[in-house]
Formats: sequence, C-alpha cells, structure tokens
Amino acid sequence: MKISIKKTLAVVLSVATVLSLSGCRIVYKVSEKEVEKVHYDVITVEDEVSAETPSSAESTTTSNSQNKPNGNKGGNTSSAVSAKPEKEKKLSGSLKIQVFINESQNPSDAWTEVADAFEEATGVNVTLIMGSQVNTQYSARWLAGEAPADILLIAGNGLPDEQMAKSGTFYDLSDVIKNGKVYGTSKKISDVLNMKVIETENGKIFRAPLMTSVQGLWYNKNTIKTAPRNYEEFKAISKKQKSGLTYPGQYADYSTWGLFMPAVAAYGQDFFNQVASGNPDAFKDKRFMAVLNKYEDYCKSKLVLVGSSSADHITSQLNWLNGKCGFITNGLWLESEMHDYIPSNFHMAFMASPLIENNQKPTVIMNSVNLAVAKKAKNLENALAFIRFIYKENMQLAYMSRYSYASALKSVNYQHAAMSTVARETLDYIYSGKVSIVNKGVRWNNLIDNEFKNVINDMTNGKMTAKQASTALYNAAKKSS
Amino acid sequence: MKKKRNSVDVLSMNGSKWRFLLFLVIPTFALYLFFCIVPMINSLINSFYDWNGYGPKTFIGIKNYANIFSDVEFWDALKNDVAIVFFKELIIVFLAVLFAVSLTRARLKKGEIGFFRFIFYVPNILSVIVITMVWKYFFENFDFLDKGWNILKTDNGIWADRPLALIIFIASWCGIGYYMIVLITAINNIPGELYESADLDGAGKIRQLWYIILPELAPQIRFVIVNILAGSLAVNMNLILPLTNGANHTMVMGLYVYNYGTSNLSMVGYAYAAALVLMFVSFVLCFAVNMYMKRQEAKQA
Repeated sequence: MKISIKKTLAVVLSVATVLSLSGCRIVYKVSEKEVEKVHYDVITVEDEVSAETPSSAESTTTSNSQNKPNGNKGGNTSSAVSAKPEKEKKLSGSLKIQVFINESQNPSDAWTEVADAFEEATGVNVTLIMGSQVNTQYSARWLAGEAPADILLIAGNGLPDEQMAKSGTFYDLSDVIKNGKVYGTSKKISDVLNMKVIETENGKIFRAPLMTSVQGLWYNKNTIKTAPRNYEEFKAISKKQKSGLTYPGQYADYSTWGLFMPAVAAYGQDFFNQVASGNPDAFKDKRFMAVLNKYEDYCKSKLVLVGSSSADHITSQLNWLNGKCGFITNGLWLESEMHDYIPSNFHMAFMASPLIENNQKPTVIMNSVNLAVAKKAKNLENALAFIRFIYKENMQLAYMSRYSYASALKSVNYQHAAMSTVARETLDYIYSGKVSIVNKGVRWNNLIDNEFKNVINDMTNGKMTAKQASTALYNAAKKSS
Repeated sequence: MKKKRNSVDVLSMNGSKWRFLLFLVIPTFALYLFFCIVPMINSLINSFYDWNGYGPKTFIGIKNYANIFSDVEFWDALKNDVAIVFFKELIIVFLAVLFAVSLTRARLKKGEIGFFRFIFYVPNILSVIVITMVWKYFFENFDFLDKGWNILKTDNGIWADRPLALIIFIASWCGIGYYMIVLITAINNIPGELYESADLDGAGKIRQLWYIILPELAPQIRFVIVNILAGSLAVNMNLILPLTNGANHTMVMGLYVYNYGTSNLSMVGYAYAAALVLMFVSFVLCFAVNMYMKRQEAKQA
C-alpha cells in the first residue's frame, strides 16, 4: 500500500513538474509575442533611388493654409507637402523602432504600413519592437545609457522623456527639423510642420512631433443633439441625463487636461502658459478660480456620476458607453481604444471643455506625440531619414487614420483618407474655426500633476472647495518651483 | 544542572571539515552580500543625490529625507499603511484562531474538514489581480444587497468614500487561510492528555480554549503577528495599485516609492530615500513588536 502511495506521489510530482515547465515556456512565448518583432525583407537597391514611390505619391493641389497655424484642412483643400520628387542618398542596413501600442490593433497597422513604405523607398530593413510592455522591458537598457532601438515612440508610461532629453539620451534633432527636407521632396520640414507644438530643452529639439492630439469631452450624439458651448448649457444638458459627467478618478489627469486646462486655455495662450508652466500665482488668479468655481458648482449639483472618483479608465469608459451619463473626459484615442465595445446605436462626438463663460470660445490644447532618436543609435543616418519620412503627407494620413489623431503638419488633406466617421468629424470640429487651438509647448512639474489629481477627486467627492483647491495647487506649485 | 548543548568544536575541526563548512557558507554569504547588502549600500548612497535616473547626479546631503518628512502625502501613506496592518492583524489573528479551533476541535466529519480547509485556503492560491478584480466588481455592483443598511451605498460610491475599509477587508480575506493552516498544525501538536485532564476537571470548551489552546499557540500567534507586519508594509501596494492606484487618499508607502522611482515623476534619488525610510519603519515596528511579545511570553512562563 505504501509503495502504491509513493508511486502515486511520484506520478503526481512528475506531472506537476512537467506542467510547471511547460507553463514557463508558455509564459516565455507570450512574452516574446508581446514584444512583437515585425521583420521585413531587405529590398536591394542597386543605384541611388528616387524616394518617391508610386505608393507614396503626394497630392499636388495648392495649399491655402500654409501660413495659418494648425491649419489642417479637410474637404478638397490642399496638401502642404506637394513638391516634385527629389533624389535621396542611397541607404542600406537596418533600423530599429521601439513602439508602445495599447490594446488596439489599429496603431500597429499604421506602423506596419509606414515601415513597409520606408523599406520600399529606401531599402532599409525595418524592425518594429511593438507591444504594451516595451517601455517597461527596455527602460533598464535606456537607463543604463544603451540604445535598444534607434528610434523611440514616446508614449505610454515608464519613459521619462524630459529627463532623457536633458541627460543626453536623445540625439539633437534641431538641424533636421529646422533645415531638413521632407524625405524625397524639396519642402523644408520647418515650413510644413506645426512648429508651435515642439517642446525644446535649452533651445534644442530632441523630440520630433509625429502626430498631434487634444483632450476634451465626448458625448453621444444620438442622445445629446447639440453640444453645450458654455457652462450654463453644460449644466442644463447634464441635468437632463441620468448623470452628467464621468472621468477615471484613478487617472484624474484625464480631467486635468480634458476639462480644466482647456477652460484655462480659453483665457488665451499667455495665461495658459503661466498655469501650465507651474507659476504658483497663476493658481490664485481669478481666472483660474472661475474655472474651479464652475466645477465646484457642478459637483454640488450632484451631476458627476457616482463612483467616478474611484473608477479606472476602462470602467469609466464602459459606464459612459452604457449610457450611465452624458459626458466623459478623454482624448482622441477613445474611439480607437473602445472600438469593439461601442454599441451600435451610439454616435460618439468630441467637444471642447464647457467650463467656460458665455462669451468665451471653446478651446482645445494641442500637444504632440513625439519620436526621439537615440544619441547612440547604431543606424543614425537611417533614423534621421525616417524622421524626415514621417512628414510625407500619406505617412501622416496613415497615422491619423489608424490613431484617430490630428496631423503634426500644418495642413493635410484627410477627407479621402481611410478613417472612421467619428475621427473625421472630430478633426472637422477641431479645424472648423469654432474652436480655438492653444499649443501646449510647456510642462509643469509632475508634483503639480499629482496634486491636481487629488484636488479633482476631492472636489468631486465634496471634500474640497474651489478655494481650498486653489490653495493646494498653489502650495504644490510653490514647492516644485 | 545546566543542560549541555550540542556544538561543533571549531578549533578541533580538521581541514576537510573546514572546507566543507566554507563550501556551505561562502556561496550563501556571497549571494547575500551581492544581492542584499550591496544594493542596500547603493540605495543609501543614491538617497543623498538629486538624480532622475538618467544623466549626472548632484549630491544634496539629507535634502531628500527632509523633503520626504515634510511631504503630507508621505505621512498619509505611512498612516494608511499602519491602519491597514493594524486592522489586518486583528482580523486575521482572530479569524485564523477561530477557524483553526473550529476545524480541529469541533465535531466535524473528515470530508467537511477538508472542504472548509480548502475554502479558507483558496484566496492564498489566487492571483492578486484576480482577487482585486473580483472584489472591486463585487463592491461596485452589489450595493443593492445592503438596502437600508447603507454600508456599501454611499454618496460618492463605496470606493471613493470607504476605500481603506475595503482594502483592509480584502487584505485580511487573502491572509486568513495560510495562517489558519499554521495554527491548525500547532493545535494538532497539543498533547491530547491536556484536554482529557481538563475534561475530568469539568472545564468546558471555552475554558479549554482559553487555558490550553491559546497559551500553547502563543509562539505561533507571535509568528503570525510579526509575519503579517513584516510582509504587509512593503506589499500593501500590490492591492492598492489595481484597486485604487492611490486615488482618494489611499496612498501607501510602497506605491509612494514606486511612483517616485519608476513613473514619469522619475525622482530616483528621492525614491531611494523613501525606500530606506520604509525599510527602517518596517524594521523598527517588527523588532519592537517581536521584543514586546517575547517579553510577554517570558512573563507568562
């Protein structure tokens, strides 16, 4: 009997060992899949190539918005990059790009499309290191001063790009952005790019804008026919809904940048810059107080969906999609992120923050989604060519249509791009002229960001008044200055 | 007469015994040195620098420590940690003893004992993420269960108004099973003669619990208390991160260190200092509690 028990135990232990070993291998495979390596075949190019390939031919209509900042246009307006093809220096070798992508498939499609086009145009062999954990997986190597990739998409958490730029991890792109030409054309990048969204460190450009994005409120057009244009309308419409507004309390900065700061920006770029750069006195200014007072009144009227201050971002988004409230603070990525969960009777629509006076114009804050080139890039020349390549109009359209973001260029004809109706309507709204656009350009200390999140949740829960919130933010700004 | 201890006479050991001893000690000591002592010294050195993780470091003396102690959020985090650990200790010790006694002294059938042991132990084999998601969903969607009581239904939602209470509940729920097994083993080692004598003297079950079981369990209860203390302060963030991410004043010290060290705040020197403060607080609390309980046991003996 004893022997049979021992045998049984041995069998069980063996099975457990085999299972655990196979479990390890499964984890390893998943991990490898997460860092999806898309490898492209090398296209050998014998002679100097014309970078202008049929697939990347530009629109040649005339621009009427070259001199207008943020003048992206829909309809039959122009392309900014509409020059004759220029011959480019022959390139060879490879290029590694680290790309953070979220759960959605769309962004990875954009990168695949652009990488294909770059390979075709240059003959460079592109490797995309993509996944939602790439920042975590490679941060130690960046931290150690290595360059695990030639180009880095600055997105997601875990990469303190400001510190990396200051510490010399990134290559100085000033010359490329100011004097370089869009790949394969005679157009200067500085002429076509929205230069106002560029963030600099001591006057040097370490981050090249890939796209631009804004945050604000989303609503369901099927239930809210006309978007509120000011606070009075916002409150009135909210009262007619089951509940007014939701936001992810665990990531309350969605409200900081979708609700509060755009309302601050409605007072103009100068005042916005004062607040966004963390000037303590700006948090005591009557204009800032006016924004806080509106939110205090909104919370006192019990118009924020119960549970918002503790919700994570998916919960808040599902609550909104399930019709529990009228509005949600979020960014342009919302449609792409929730693509599979949007009910059929739901028509998403974007609007600027309504925490403004009747006589103010709705405003959005435009910030850039950036690429950086590693200072120690093994394929520096190829990396710089790629930076020039992304400013070709059809490359911008590839990103815009898959990310649902705005272009980094001043003007892009997106009307015929393969993008969703919601993305097109959103871009139409942003560039309609009914909305003011303020460029972010500056950053405050993250301590203020942290305090702002606490303030929003406390105000939502009725544990803080507007005046207390102003003092808390003033103290945080004072401490960080 | 003084009891003679078994010991190795080091001076009389021959070469092969020395070699064997060194063979055992050197790898252990080397691993401990490189993976524990060196990082701790490195942390201590880095805590005196203003460093963002990239680029050059600037020596700033004890400024990081001064900033930590003047930060309201740090004191909030410390207060939350202490509250979570204190209530967790009370709940786990009380329920683990209760369950362990029930499963050993109550007249249950063998199958029933196995079933209940399994039920109580299940939380220990579940992933923290599964546990947090299940309870988060439960408290968000089952508030109708307490109609009239208004324990779960609050003005801003239970997770906004009573987050700490929920975290304490979940943390305790996770911990009971393991400590219950520890106590069951100890109860099973109590000689049966003690119970028989108590029965003959007419002592009921409650008196047996009070005068036999609890005194015999004292060393194990001390182990449970110190173990919870040592294991909780640094890992409370495992629950907090998926449950609240520190929102609504649920910051704990582990998350505080994590935020400063790894997120976009990137104040790595500051995070090192905060981590050392966390280690110091954990050490002092564990040491103090352990000493106090040892003295109490000695007094009772």
